Amino acid sequence: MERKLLPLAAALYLGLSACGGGGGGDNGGGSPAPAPGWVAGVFRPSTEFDALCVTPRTGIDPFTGVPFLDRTGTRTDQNNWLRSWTNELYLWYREVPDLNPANFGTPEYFDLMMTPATTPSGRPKDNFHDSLSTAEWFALSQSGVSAGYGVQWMILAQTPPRRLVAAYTEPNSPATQAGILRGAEVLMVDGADLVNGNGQAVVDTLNAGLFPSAAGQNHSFQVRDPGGTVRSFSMQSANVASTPVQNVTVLPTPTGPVGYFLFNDHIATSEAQLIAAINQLIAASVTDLVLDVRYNGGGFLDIASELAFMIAGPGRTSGQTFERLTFNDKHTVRDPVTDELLVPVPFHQATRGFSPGLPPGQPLPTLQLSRVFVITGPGTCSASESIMNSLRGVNVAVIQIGSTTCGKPYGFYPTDNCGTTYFSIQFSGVNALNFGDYPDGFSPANTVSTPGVLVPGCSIADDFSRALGDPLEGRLAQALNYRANSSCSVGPSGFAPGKHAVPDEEGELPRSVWRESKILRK
Amino acid sequence: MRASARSPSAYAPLAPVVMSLLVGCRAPAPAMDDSPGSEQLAVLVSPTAETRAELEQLIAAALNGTAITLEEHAFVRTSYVVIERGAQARDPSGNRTQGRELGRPDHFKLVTQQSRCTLVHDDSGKRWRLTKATCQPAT
Repeated sequence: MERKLLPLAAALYLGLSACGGGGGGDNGGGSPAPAPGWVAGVFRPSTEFDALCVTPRTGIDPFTGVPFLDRTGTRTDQNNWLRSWTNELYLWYREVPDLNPANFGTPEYFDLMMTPATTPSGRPKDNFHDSLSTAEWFALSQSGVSAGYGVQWMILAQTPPRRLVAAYTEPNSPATQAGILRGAEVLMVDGADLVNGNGQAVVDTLNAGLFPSAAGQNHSFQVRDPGGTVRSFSMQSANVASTPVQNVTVLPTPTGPVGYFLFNDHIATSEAQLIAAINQLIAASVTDLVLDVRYNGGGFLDIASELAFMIAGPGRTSGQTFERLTFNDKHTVRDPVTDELLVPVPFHQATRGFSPGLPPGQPLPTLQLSRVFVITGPGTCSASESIMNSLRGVNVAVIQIGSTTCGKPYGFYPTDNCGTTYFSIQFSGVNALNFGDYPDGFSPANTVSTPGVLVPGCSIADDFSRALGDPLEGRLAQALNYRANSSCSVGPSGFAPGKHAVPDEEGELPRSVWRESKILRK
Repeated sequence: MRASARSPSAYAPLAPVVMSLLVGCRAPAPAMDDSPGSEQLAVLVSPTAETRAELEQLIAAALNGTAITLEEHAFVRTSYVVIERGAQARDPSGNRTQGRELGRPDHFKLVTQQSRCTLVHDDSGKRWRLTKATCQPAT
């Protein structure tokens, strides 16, 4: 979908006006000051406080391409902006406590500008309230390229005795050159004991070695390979291009060939790779598809829509809603950020031109399936969940194999003020049946213990003993078994994902160096 | 409020107005190449660290980026590079921060004419002649 932002109305306002918002005279510290004009339940427009900063920035604003419009303001101004902006755009603004902005630091105040409600499972209703320095958020990258070794680590235990294994690797990367296979368990990094090492210095060494911040860094590793062999080697980090669609495989069965592929990220380059995968499976006349999104945290929603169409075909999707975005009740007609009319996202039947060199408007191939097997885990999030929900909305049978998804039927427009970019939930997405209520995720039907929305299928832990795409890998084997027998060959199991839960054999995806202090712990 | 759902090119319609208010404040723009002529898609030949630095500088400047990560072989195998913003950011649970991205990425391509290398930003049509690169037509 094409979306344009409101045309700099706020910037012009600031450019032409010398007015500022009300607020105290505090400059970021000291005792709470009264906030002139603050009245509980009364909200002035956030534009009155926009870019009034304790520390105004100078230079070019990456959001606008023109010099920063920051002016000297106060901590209370910053908090007033958060308060009004939240009241204007936050999906559950009615549930946010109205607190005196003069009484809090800005990060602390933002943390309070969210609903305190919990989901039926007991976890926070808003599990995604977050912020990041704008300089970090505005870092650019070639699609799918990041500094590292080209291995996705999976933390199975964050504290001693720690466990960290390789979930998958990128082709032609330092990791594949070092022979790292799925399931390889890291024992030592630069001489630090990953399993039992204690102390901050050890943790810092582990994080620095596992998650290099730039290309060209050399680190030594000791790993136990899946076969049990312990070996040592060094790797040098590089700017590695990920391959978001991998292991496209046709699995012969007595009842016809079954297609499988691993889809890890809705990045721009995935568009062409998904089309190639679907074409390959069409050529093999597959009668079913196992879509593996266990590590896919989402990305471009348009790509999710394209894939859903390529699975279901035009018969089930023409004229139907892939996902309809719903903002809070102040914004029922137009998107409050882009000012565009709120119209449903359709199932895209043609390319959007995201991938390099792939023109928009090319008809998409389609498998025209009436059912799909989807392999999931707690890393299955957002746009990946939209694929499941949208297909269920047009009566495509979704059979879920694995564990409960993350539960994020929400989204937001990241928004900067005073050098911090805020991620505050602004919309939810519903399918053609107007359903989008899965804050505890989707769970296979035989999941025990506070599951999300139950979907036919089987709960089974991740299996690091086999390669992804191997028909004997636990989850893929279970999908094939369910296809053959319409039942699970494993007993009920499972759990609901907690914010920091790291269940055994399920794991957490530590992908960001920005979060590295939280990756491995003492 | 400034939201980042789209590239800065979304602001293009009002940029001249804002510029007129703030003239003299903007950083110098890179040298532009505005002579498309008859040209072909191109790839780099034996790029050096200087080539890479020039490309990074131009792309970052075009998108007002704070930092940029390019593949070592960017523009070597294909004429196209797609740039995303914030794609590496993860939430405290390790999942993608922006899991429902409604915007579009930025597309750049490399073209050549009479041995000149030119970087083109598809979305805005802006062009920059490369001074540190050698190109050849893409096959």
